[in-house]
Amino acid sequence: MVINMTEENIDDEEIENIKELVNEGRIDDAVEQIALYLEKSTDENDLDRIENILEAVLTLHGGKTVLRFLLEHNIIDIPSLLNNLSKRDSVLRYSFLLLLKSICENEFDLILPHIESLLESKDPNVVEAALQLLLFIVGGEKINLEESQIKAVANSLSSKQDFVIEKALQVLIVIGKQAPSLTTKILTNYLKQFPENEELKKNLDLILKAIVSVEKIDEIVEEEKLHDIITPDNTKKVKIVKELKKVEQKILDKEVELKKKDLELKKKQLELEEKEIKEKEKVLKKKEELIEKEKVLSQVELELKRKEVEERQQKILEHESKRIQEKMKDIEEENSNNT
Amino acid sequence: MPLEEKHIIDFLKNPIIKRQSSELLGHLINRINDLCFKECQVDRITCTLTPMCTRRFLLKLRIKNGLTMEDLPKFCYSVNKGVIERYFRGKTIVYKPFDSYLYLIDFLDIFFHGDYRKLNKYISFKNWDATYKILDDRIKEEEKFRYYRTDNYFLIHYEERLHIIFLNEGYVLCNANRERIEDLELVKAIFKLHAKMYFPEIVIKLIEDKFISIIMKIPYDIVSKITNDYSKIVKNQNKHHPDNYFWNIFPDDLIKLSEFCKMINLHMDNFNDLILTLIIENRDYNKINIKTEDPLKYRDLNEIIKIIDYIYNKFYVIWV
Repeated sequence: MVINMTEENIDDEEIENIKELVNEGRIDDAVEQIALYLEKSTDENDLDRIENILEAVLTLHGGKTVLRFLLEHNIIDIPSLLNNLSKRDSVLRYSFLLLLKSICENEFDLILPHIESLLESKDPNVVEAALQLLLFIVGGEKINLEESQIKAVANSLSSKQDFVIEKALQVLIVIGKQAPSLTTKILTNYLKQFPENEELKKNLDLILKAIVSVEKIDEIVEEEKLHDIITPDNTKKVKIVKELKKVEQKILDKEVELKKKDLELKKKQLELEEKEIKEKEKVLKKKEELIEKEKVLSQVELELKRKEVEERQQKILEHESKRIQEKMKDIEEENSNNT
Repeated sequence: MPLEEKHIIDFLKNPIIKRQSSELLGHLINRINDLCFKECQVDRITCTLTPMCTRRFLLKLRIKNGLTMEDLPKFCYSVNKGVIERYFRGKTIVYKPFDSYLYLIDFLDIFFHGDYRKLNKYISFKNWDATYKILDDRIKEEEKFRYYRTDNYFLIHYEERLHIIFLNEGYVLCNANRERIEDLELVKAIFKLHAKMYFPEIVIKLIEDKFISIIMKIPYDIVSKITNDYSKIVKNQNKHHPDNYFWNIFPDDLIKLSEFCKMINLHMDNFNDLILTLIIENRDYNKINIKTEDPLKYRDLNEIIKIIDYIYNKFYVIWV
């Protein structure tokens, strides 16, 4: 008991020294001191020492800087830390995660490489922590996650723990808003592995509803063009699409043929109509010619009639003149006779 | 105008529309259940660091009304326990877990970890001898707590914080502070526990189950030293001198006490000792300055205890 108390007192002193160094702004010295403190850990007090450091760092003004230095210098590494914290109470675990928020947002290179392996952990607390860190990362500046990373997140949707599923949903919604097409593809493929899982369907519905909006549709189409790479996973899909396209083409061809035929028919109809018109024209012309001829004939007839009339008139005149002359002669003769 | 709290309260006050009131409360219960089970604790980081109800009062509501662990949001409860434990161990916490409730076994797990199963059994079966033995052994090993038991309550004062085990209900109020004290037995027990620690000779009585009377004596030796003339008080006098306290501070303390006491009596006995009697009643009372009805709270008793402790230890006990 006495020995323990002494060890505890030494521990407290060392922690106090570290706190003082941080408060004085001597971050490098503090980090060095922490490294020495952690080096002295045994299997028994390993976790306690890490917890002591985190407790101290949590309360300090420069705590985030210290933590970043510790990560950069590999004095503590995220996977082992999250695995250890899983055994501790949730307040410490989540307070620590919150401390990592700004690092996740601004220096995600320190965290992102570990995410996939953490997501594969059998410990749901570790998976949840990894998802939370990823949520902080994607919540910062827009980054393009690798397909495998998104798939790893999607795998968490099949967790037995509701809190892991909830966190995975949150992450996928944020990722989905940044890369809607890729996320939709991954999730759709993932669902095909578990076609009878109704809960999964519901959750995917939730994500897709959150991702797709009227404003996002154009973005999805554009992204689809960019990401339209044929992979073994979507070969079937491509085949189906090709077949569909073929059928579609056939239908289009038939439609064109029908239209052509229709046009031909119309053309023929028009030709017939044209012929009819031409014939009608001919008939009309003939009629016109006939009418002309009739006109000429009638004129000739009229002329003839006029000539006839004139001839008759002439004849009548001549006859009359002859008659008058004869009569005159008669009268003269009579007169002469009388005389 | 949108629906307001007042409208709902008025609606529930109407005794004629019981059926609709029940329907309305049903909606409220459904909403609370959704909030606790579906919205808050499913996102554990939110539930831990920024719970959706202030200081987990909805969890308290469930525990205080006798709901079992099955009907509690379990993760929320585990965080509640974690926060109480961290506060007890002096670690970083999101909020101070004042007036938090735990089931007995979890309370014992935090404060008496090595013996918590035994203690749970003994306390549950009211085996007081075995309980006291364990606790006394721990006190001997310099654990900083004291305890006091009544028929219905078991009080534990651990490092300046008061925890109350409700023996019949099976739960514990941890870090009692602003909660209303509804039982005079409990008021008496709190004074008795503090008397045991700080002012053992102060007389504390329960009168006709209606009042608590606290009688303290300021000996003639002290009273006789107090000057009758305020102008004669020497400047920069020792602040512990009776003159300083009785002329400068005691009047204010009396005003403060009057806020929490039904009656205060000051008189000289046959030996010319000054006798101060406080009568405390457990019911809503009017504060002189605030003029609002306010029930008696644990921290109000702390104010009384501080004054009694000061007078007792400065002017009653003869320190050698």
